[in-house]
Amino acid sequence: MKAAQNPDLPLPWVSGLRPPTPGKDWREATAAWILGDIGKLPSGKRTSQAETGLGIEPSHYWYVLRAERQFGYTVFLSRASIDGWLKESGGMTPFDSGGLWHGFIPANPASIDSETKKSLFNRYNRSLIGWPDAFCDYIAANYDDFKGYIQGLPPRTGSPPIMTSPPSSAQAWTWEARVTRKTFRPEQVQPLKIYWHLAESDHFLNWVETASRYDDPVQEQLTAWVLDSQEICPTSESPAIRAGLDLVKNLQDLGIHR
Amino acid sequence: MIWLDDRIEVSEEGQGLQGVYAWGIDGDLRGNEARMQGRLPFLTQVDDARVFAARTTNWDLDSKQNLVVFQTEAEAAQHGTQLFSQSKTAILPGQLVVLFGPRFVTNILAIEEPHLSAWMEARKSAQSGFRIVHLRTEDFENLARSISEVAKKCFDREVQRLGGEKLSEKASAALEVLRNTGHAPVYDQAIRALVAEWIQQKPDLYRKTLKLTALRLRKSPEALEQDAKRHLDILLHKGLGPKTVTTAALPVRRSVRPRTHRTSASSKYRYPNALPSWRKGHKSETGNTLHE
Repeated sequence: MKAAQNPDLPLPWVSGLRPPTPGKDWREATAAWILGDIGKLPSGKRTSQAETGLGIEPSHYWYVLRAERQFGYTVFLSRASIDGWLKESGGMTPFDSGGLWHGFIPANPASIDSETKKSLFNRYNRSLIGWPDAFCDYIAANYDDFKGYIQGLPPRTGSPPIMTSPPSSAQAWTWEARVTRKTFRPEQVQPLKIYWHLAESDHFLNWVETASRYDDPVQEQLTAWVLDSQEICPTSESPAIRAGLDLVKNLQDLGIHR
Repeated sequence: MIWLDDRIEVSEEGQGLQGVYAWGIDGDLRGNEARMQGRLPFLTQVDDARVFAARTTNWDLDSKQNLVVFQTEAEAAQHGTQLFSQSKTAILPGQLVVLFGPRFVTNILAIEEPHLSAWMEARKSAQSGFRIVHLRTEDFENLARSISEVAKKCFDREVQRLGGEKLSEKASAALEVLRNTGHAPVYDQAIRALVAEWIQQKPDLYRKTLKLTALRLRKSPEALEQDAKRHLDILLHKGLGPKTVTTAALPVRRSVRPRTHRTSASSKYRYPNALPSWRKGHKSETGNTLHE
């Protein structure tokens, strides 16, 4: 079965706690994510620079179906709406747009100016309408199955002229979804699961209980959600590794390969 | 991610890792000031611009699965906060970078456990009082458990010493350590937090702790409260033996001071009025009236 045809589409959008959010610590960022309150988190400086440079409206960002291993501290999985998107809701690119703007995504020729970056972005930028089909078509064209993509292996063709071999890394072929801050509604991208270490879980729940600014019902909501939805990872392993393995397993269990 | 200004050498001991340095740490400084945390390292090699982020402790520089590669230090640094560290201790594969927050260090020293204090004092202070060591995963977890045990004992001893009359600074520090080592069972933390809030007569906080920790432990608030009362009772009657305490079954806040210090007989049992079910006139499950 094709993933896009599955009504319980297991194509979560993934985020992590890197880069650090100015003015907010990781506990507040986590609580905001669980409560669907991410609009209150300010954009990072470099994110704003990339948005200005590429002409993107201020947005929230996720990777599609990939836990980026560099964001290893805490990994969030979200269930994204399939329908109901408008053209102005946001967009998707088959690479990390911030990475492109800041020069961390190598292309041919090696040195590209701002205008070229912008035109490259516009060439591959697409609307969120029908995103699962577009994503699944990309996987079918570039990988034998989802596993290769989730593991960060290079695509067959990818998005030329972006390089698909070193020094390029998975950032250059991981799909990025964005929803504009102006149009974002919590029900469009709902929290599904959190991967972290026991120490982070305990610390977060202690913080919710003793030091957070939330009222009692919200504290209970946060605690109950974490207890029901968390995956505790071994200290010796980054949560991103565990989340990646689970993403592969969930698709395989459903018999979805591409 | 935290990046270090001074590179920490990676030991070449049987690993062929000459010229490899710890470049940073996967974690945050902000929000972790009171914590002890074990994080995975980021590494660099001499004559190589790349930064490798270990994703498991079984890292080596040839493994694609366990490492993330940033092509430049600038690329890696965009995700991090800089930490100025004077530590030059070698690091080995299999180790975590353990980061002690400044408040955690202060609390450890406040507990005044000689060995632990001496060990902590021997660690060089980095930026803003953060301290760094490198430990194998099992050693990190053992250290965290040992610190938790020390903190538990310190808290209990302090409550006992003051007869549950007030919470000393040392007990408060011990409780904060207990809640921030990451390896103390939630139950142990909860019981002591409830005792602390009861002693401090903070009924709102007490009720909140009871409700939320009961949820976390999947216990009823009543059962958790009984456990907290029993723990306090044992502390205040240490020497009588738990059996005697259990049969007494009175979660009373009994002073260890002689009655002569009291103005009336009834004042030997003082209950904060606002505390749920520990207040005046409450009847226990056994039917005992908890206050005359």
